[in-house]
Amino acid sequence: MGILSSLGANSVYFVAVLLFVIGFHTMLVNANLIKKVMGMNIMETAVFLLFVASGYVRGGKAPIFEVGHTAGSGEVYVNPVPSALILTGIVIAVSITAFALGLIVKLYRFYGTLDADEIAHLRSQER
Amino acid sequence: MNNVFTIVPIVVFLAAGYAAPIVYRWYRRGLAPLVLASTAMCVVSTLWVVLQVAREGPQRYFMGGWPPPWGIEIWVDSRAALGGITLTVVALLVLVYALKDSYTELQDSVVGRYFALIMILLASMYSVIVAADLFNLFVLVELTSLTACGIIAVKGDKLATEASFRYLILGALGSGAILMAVALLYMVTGHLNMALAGEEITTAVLNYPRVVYAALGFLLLGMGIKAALFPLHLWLPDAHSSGPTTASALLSGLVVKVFILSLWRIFDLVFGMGLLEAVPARQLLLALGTLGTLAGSLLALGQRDIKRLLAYSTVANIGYIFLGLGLGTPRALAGAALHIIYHAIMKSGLFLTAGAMAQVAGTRDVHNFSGLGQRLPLTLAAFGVGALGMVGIPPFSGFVSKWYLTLGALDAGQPFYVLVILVASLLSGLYYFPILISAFFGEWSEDKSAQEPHPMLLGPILLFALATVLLGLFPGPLLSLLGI
Repeated sequence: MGILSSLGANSVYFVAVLLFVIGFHTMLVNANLIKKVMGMNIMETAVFLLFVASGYVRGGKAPIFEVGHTAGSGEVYVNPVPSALILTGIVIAVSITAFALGLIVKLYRFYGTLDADEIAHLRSQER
Repeated sequence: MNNVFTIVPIVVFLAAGYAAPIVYRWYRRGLAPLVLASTAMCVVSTLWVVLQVAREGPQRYFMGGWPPPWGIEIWVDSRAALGGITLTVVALLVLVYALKDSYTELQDSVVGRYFALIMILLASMYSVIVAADLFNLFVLVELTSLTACGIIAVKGDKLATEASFRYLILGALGSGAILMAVALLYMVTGHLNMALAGEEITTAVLNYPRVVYAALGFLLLGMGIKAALFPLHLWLPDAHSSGPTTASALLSGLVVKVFILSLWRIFDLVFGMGLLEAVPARQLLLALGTLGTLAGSLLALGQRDIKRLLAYSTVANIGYIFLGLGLGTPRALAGAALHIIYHAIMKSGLFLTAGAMAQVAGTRDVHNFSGLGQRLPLTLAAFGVGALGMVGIPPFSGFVSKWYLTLGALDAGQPFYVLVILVASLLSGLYYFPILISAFFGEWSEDKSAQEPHPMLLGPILLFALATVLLGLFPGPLLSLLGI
């Protein structure tokens, strides 16, 4: 019962770790280059989820103050830092994805396949 | 307090990076002055920072004038200062070589972009060395990976594209692990600034020990992939051997070291030595370092392609550095820091020399270099100096760092690692000496004319060899800056 309730309270982290493992596994095991890139994106999304969730406060408001406003004792605010950081993280993930897809287009032109094993096979034949 | 010279290299390298392709497009002859002047400026400003660090201790800069915990901090201690000066000087020499070599190795249309990538890579590497903020470090690590893949892929052939893709995917795995470590550390300490997170970690480890150890594990995994720590080195041989010569020199000499330096900084500032003793992190580094030195040397023995041979030798030398980190005694740490500097200089020099030799011989196969020493005495002499330095023959610089690593192993009461260092050095002799012997005493079989490379190629090669000798003879200033 204790495990179940703590899982319930931390379900976001549980899902994040699950997604991380799925992405990690896809990147390493799947031979399809596009799926490798997809795995990379799933893995990064998992970390983003974990990071943003760490800054969330239950019942918290957006941390925007009007001029002259002082925080009362009962007011709770969400930590804005993780969201701001993850915005940068998303930009990085997009640029890496774009570069990876560009390389995949080139590899497809060279080898006519998107399968990593087949590419390795073709390469060993060329030697 | 705010020392603006610490960020001059970042700003100048970045600005030059964005200007390079534009200048190349509209005024092609302006590229060389732009690249060399900006890099020289960075060398001078880093040298000034080194002098200030030696005189006054660590230098800081708060980005935008905001002190931590709000702002991003740049922190240059003695190790970062030495790393920075090594980076800028090696970069200057490699860029001189690149300004001549890139036109023969690359298509004319991509040369401007190649230099843009190199300059941005240098900016991001320098910032990784001096970053004192965990998230900032992550962003810069990603920038370094992306541009490092770029300078391989720029060659555009099958092998380079494939190597670059594999490097990118494995690098992304590493980045994901690093970001996970940053997220976990932020969750339990509430700080992104390394020094402030380090203050909170002792309470955090009492409350959430598993989260802190998970962060340590993710960090080791991520930085291990990026720095090619032994079983995670699989991307390295292809990536370091298939790009242009100058890209190989930068990747092998500088890029992998930068990640070790930042891992070391996180160990020092965030985790602290006491926490590392609590888990077998040191034993792990020692075991992987040992395996890396031996496996890298053995795999290098089997290579015929000179660039792949040098790449595997890099795996072995990364092993030495992690050995020093794992041993953890002051003299072993000094040895590791020295080896980072010396290996950067020797390996960059060797890659440039190998590129010049391969151009003359028309092949990268080491068996076809026989007799090359009689035709190109200066180039092969430089290769000899670099090779002897890598093996660790006394007057050359590799000896000094290995000497300190050995002393450090004895200080730690673990003479086994002395044996590891000796055996790995002997193995490296086994793959460097046959090349030298056949080059100097073998027959020059082909009757095509062979002459010393262009001065812009020969100059950097000889300067690297000279640095290998001088730093080996006079390691005093480096050691005093490292506090030995």
